[in-house]
Amino acid sequence: MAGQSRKDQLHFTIQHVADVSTSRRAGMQMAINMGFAQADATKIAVVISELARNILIYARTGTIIVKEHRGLNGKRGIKIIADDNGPGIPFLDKALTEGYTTSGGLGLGLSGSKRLMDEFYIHSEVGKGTNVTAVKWLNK
Amino acid sequence: MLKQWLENRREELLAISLAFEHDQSEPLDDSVLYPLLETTLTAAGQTLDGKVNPTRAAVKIAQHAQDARLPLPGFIHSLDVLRRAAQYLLGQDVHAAADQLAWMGALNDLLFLTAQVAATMLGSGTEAELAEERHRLRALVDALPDFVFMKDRDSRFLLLNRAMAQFMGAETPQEIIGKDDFDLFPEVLAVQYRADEMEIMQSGRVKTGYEEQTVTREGEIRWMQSTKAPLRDSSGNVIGVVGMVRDITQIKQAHERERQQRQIIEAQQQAISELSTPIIPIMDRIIVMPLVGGIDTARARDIMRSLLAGIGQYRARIAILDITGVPVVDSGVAQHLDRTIQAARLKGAQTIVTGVSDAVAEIIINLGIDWSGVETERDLQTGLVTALERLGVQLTRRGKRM
Amino acid sequence: MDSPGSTQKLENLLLVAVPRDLMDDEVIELRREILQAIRRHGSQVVLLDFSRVDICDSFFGRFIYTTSKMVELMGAKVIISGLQDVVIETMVELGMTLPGVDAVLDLDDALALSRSLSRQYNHLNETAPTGGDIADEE
Repeated sequence: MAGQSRKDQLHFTIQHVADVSTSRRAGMQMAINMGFAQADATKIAVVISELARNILIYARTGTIIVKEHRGLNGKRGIKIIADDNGPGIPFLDKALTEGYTTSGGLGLGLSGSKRLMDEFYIHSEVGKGTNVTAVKWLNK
Repeated sequence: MLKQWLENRREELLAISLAFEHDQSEPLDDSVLYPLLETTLTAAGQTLDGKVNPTRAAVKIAQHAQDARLPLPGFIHSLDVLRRAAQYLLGQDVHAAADQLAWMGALNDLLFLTAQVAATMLGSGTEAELAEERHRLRALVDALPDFVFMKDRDSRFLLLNRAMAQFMGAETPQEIIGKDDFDLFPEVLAVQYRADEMEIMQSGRVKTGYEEQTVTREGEIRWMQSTKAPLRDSSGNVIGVVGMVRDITQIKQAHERERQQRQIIEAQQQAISELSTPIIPIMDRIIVMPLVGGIDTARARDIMRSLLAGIGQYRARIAILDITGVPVVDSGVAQHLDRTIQAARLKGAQTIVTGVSDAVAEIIINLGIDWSGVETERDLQTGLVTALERLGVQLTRRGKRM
Repeated sequence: MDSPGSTQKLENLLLVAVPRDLMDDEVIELRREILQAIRRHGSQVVLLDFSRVDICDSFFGRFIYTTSKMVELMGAKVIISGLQDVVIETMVELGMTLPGVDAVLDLDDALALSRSLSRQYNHLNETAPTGGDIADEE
């Protein structure tokens, strides 16, 4: 369900498939409101969708935060933060390789999402959880 | 004594140099930001109480970040947070403040804050302390290149710094004290300033980082960025306004130049992109896109968008991508082309790549690029014949089949 | 029958309007609906129309892939149409190019394809009458 949301920040608890569509829709709208072109807003929505699904599949529950982001040099962008306390990703390098999946998916989730964003960081510890932080800049 | 002092300094310097080594590229998360903010607020408070100097405060924050084993922030980031904290103390929305003041130096803001709070604290403490406080405040505000001032409820100057006095053409700040804007500025501006200050005093709210125009004594128009806040006495009653004003004329001019340049560049890019991704409808449901020049990621995206739009517009079933004019085909270009071909396929059109020279064919094979699903032809003419055959059209010449 | 997607028979074609947000449980239902409709109508081509979909993640990709495999098992073929340009751009950058799945530009092209396939099918039936029997069992 959508949690508390400030005007410049969306916060979602991901625990049901419905949360996937809620979060990606809201994220897409935020991107459009910020001035992203339709194509980039679509990419942002897909990345939110992939990250939310990953949370559901691997960790069952977690959070997604979508917010405006400003770089040190003043660039504007949108930032997605996905957090869970799930099992973690045992082979991170592999997980970022196209085609790798442990859940019968197409295995494009992480590697593909990385391509759709400008910045993409994964921090994962086995047994503790996974944090993905991704940024797309508004004007490159 | 000196040795002790150096010992203390060394610790600070060490902390600063350590903090600098931290990766600053990693983004800052709120769960990290808020505890940090708390420390910052405490440190800022201590600075205001005179217990800690600003450098020490920043170092403390950097240390906190290290102690908490945060995956981030460097010294710069600490200053950044400090800056936000300063705005936060002024009762502003942190994000909005950061927006407005992204280019402002952290220490300047803190100094301004110190000045403001020190000013409102006047009247407390002993005579000697008061004199010392006044002296420090004076030194502080006069050292700032920005304009700092205090006015009473009638918008008469109670205090202003040297930079502001000089801007107004006065030798010393004393010449200005007691005057109001109507004495100093053209009426149209004075009316505006007075209205802003009335609003701030009545609402009790801070007005942050708004831009306004002013004129110098010589009649030159300058752009200023102003922050004004209500000035309160010890019981909290509004007794005037305090303000900080920065001359941003040069920044404005630079931005304007940048904006104009960007407009020109965008217009040129638009023209180039239209020229560089032409779609030619050849005949029923066949389009040709001749590509000339290098293909980088940005252009590859234009090509893809233009091709998809062309397929839709001309209801194309076959798109011919002629790469005769592409000088270099490396794995990057091959991958871009492959994505374009896949995109066209998902739209419902087949792509034939023509103009694949011997050299290109060699590169594709040598690089191990899989183009097995891609239909290629030597030249555009052959490609066209193939396309027509694909659509079941037969070319005849003088009654004979070709 | 319009939930979650709506299926509609058109000659040999089974037209399926894929809903804007497709959720896990709906996928199973929609797929069952498609398979039943193929059996009921003897459809040879299933056209998945994506014109309502504006966010197409890898979950959709998996849906298309598995659906096309199941439909193939029943002797029919899945084609897709109606993908918006920005959706295609995102899919391709994501690396989701749906190999082996054919796309058509619009319904006209889908009908033309299905007619040519059914001509082949009829031709096949004439020469080998036992092949590809998908008679209605209901």
